[in-house]
Amino acid sequence: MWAVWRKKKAMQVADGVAKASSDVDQAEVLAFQNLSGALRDAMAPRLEELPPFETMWAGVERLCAEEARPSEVRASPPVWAGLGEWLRRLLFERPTLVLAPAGALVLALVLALFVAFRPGSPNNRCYVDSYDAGSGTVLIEQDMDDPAQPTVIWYLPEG
Amino acid sequence: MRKIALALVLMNLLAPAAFGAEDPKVSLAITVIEARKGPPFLHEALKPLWELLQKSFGEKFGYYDLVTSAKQTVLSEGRVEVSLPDGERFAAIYGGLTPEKKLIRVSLEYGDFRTKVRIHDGGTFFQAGKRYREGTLVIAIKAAIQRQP
Repeated sequence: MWAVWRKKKAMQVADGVAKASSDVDQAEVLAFQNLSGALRDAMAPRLEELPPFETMWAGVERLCAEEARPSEVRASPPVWAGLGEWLRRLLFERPTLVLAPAGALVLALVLALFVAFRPGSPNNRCYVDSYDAGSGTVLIEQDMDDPAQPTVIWYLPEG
Repeated sequence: MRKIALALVLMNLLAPAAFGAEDPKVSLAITVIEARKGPPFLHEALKPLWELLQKSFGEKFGYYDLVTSAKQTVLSEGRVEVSLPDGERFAAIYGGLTPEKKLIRVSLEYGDFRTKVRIHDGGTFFQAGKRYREGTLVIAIKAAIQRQP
């Protein structure tokens, strides 16, 4: 407790806030003065490097003036420019994300065309006008409701 | 002079009937198939007929092998023939087109069996029933009008 009070007193003396007294170690006061001097030396050049306040204020005024302009005057990039860039990046960086759906789309189109223009099945409807068999049985098997269904003329000879 | 004029008029009237009404050539194809129950089999040459065979015979047969085939382009009354395995001749005869619907008239002849049918251009029908080995002979007949290029 006493040691802390002495150090605090020594710091105050070193800073010139308190007067030196017999209970303050002069060596400690000297050490604090040296430390303060070293810190000031280290900080001084940086403070000098800071830009002047006028320059900073001119910049703030310029930004405020730009903000005050009407929005349509400010040049904004067109929407499609961003879209194009996005597409380009997608195509070159993740081609499967573009090529896989594109391939599926092309395949679907080809299938749709194939189905749409596929030649229809021939009409296999057959009209049996007459038949004659000396012996045996003749059967006509056909479905007149289905034109694609071929007729079968069964001839089962005797024996 | 009158006779000449009359002859010209008659020629004009009869010429289309004599020349223009000629039936076109028809391609007749006969395919003789051995069909029977058994392990599923389809001869390579019968692939175009596979759908029709299934439609017509369904579960009756599973094994289809090619026995013989013939294809020919014929004029009216022309015939296409094949020899069946027992030596009998199977003939398909083109009988011209029907005047209205342009159906193809086809007659079949083999042994004592005769039949006459009309089918659409490109149509196929089957004649079946003759026993062969452990199965049946199925004969596919396809007729198609040959159009001039």
